Amino acid sequence: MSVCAEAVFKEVFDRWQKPLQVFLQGRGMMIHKAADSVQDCFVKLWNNCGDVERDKAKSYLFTIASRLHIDEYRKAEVRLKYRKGLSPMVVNEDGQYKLEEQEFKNKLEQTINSMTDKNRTVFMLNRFEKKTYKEIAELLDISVKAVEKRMSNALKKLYQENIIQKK
Amino acid sequence: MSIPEDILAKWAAGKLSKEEQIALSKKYDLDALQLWLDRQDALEIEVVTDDIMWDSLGSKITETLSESSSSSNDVSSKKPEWIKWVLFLLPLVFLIVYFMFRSQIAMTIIKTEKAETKSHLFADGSTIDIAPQTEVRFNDNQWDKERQIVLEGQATFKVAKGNAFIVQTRSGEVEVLGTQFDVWSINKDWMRVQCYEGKVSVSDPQSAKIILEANEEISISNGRLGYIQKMKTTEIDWKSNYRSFKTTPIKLVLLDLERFFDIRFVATGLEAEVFTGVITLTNVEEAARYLSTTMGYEFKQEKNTIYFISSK
Repeated sequence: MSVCAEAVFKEVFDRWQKPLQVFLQGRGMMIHKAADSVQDCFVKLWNNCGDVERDKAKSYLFTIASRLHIDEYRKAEVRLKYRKGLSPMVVNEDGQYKLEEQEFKNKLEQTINSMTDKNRTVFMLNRFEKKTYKEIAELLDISVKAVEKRMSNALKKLYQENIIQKK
Repeated sequence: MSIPEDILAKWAAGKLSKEEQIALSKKYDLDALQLWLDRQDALEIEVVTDDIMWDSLGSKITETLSESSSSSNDVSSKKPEWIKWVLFLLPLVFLIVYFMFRSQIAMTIIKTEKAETKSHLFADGSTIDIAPQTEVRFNDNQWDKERQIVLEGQATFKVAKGNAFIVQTRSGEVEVLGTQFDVWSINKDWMRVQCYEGKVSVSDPQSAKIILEANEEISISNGRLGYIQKMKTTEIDWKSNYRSFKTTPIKLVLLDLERFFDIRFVATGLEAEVFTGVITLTNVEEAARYLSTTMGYEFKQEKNTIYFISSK
C-alpha cells in the first residue's frame, strides 16, 4: 500500500512527525527550523508517494531528515516544557517548588545541550519519545550496541555534570 | 573489574541482573540518577504541535505543486539569491509603512446628513448615537489605548467602563469613565451636555472644570460654563422624536430643527426672542404650528422654506 491515500498519509504523519522533530532537535536544530524541516520531509514524501510503501515511509522520512540536517548544521538548543497535569505535585505548587523546577529544567537543558549530537539524539528519543533502543537503532540505521553506547555516554555526562557535584 | 561501555544504558532500560546492578552501584549513585530521570519524566520536549504542522503542511504541498508546474522539479529551488531577499524584505517594508501610518490611515469619520441618524458600536462595547447633520471622527484601531472622539453636532454616548473617554468639540471638552450622556454643540459659541448615568466632567476652553452627575445638564456659552441644572426628563429627546428647549434663542431653536427636517426656517427680526417648550420631530408642519402658537407667530411655507412672522 502506498501512502498516496490521504488517510494513510495522515496516519504516517501523526505517527512520525513528533519523533522526527525530536530527532532533528537532537541533532541540534532549533525548534522552528526542525518543524520546518520535518514538513519538508513530508512534502517530499507526498510528492513521491507513489514510490513509497507505507511500511517504508518511516525509513524514507528519517533518511531525508538526516540529509536535511547535514545541509543545515546548527548549534543545539533544546527547549523543555512541563508536561501539563501529569505530576501530582504541580497541583499544589508553591513558589519554592516552582523555583526548584525551573532550576532543574535549566540544568537539564544545559546538560542536554552540552552532549554531542549523536548522544543527544539517542538520549532524547529514548527519554522524551520513549523509544526503545531497538526502535532507535532502526530509526538511525545503526546497531543496538551503538545505541546503548551512546545512551551510556549521555547518562555518564548527565551523572558527571549534575550528581557527582552534589555529593 | 572493568565496566562495559554500554552498562548505564542497560541499567536505564532495566536490563541488568542484581549482581551487575550491585557492581555498578559501587561506581555510580544509582538512586540519585534514577531520581533525576524520574523528575525528567515530568518534562517534555517542546515541539510544534500536530495540528499546526498538519495545517501548514497542506499549504506547503500546494505551494510546491504550483512551483513544480511552473518550472521543472528541482530547478525551482535554485532561484537567484536576490529574489529570496526581496520576497523576504517586501512584507517587512509593508509592515513598517503600515505601522508608521496606521494612526493616520485608520481615522474613522461618520457623517450624518439632514434628517439622518446613525449609530456606531465601538470595540469595547461603547455606543454612539449620532443626531442629524453631525460629524464625528475617531481612531478605531487605537480605540483600546485611547478613547477620543472629535464631535461637531450632537450625539448621545453610552460608555463602557475603561480608560478615560473624551469628547472634544470646538467649544469645550467632556471626559467620562463609563456612563451615558449627550453632547450638543452647534457652533463654537454654545454647547450643552446632558448626563443620564454616572458622572461626566465638562471643561470650557479656559479649562474651568465641573463634574456633572446623573440627570444634570450644563451648557457652555461664549466659552464659559453655565450653571448645573436638573434635567426635566431622563429620556433622550431626539431619540424619542421630540425636542425640548429651555429659554433658548429662536435662532438656535430653528437652527436645531433644520437638522431634523431638511428644511430652511426664516424668522427675520425674531432671532433674539427665547423659547421654552417641547416640539415634535415627527411632522414639520405640526412643529411649525406649535412654535407659532406658543410664540404668537404666523408661518407660511414656500417650497423648501418656512417663514415666521410676528403676528403682534
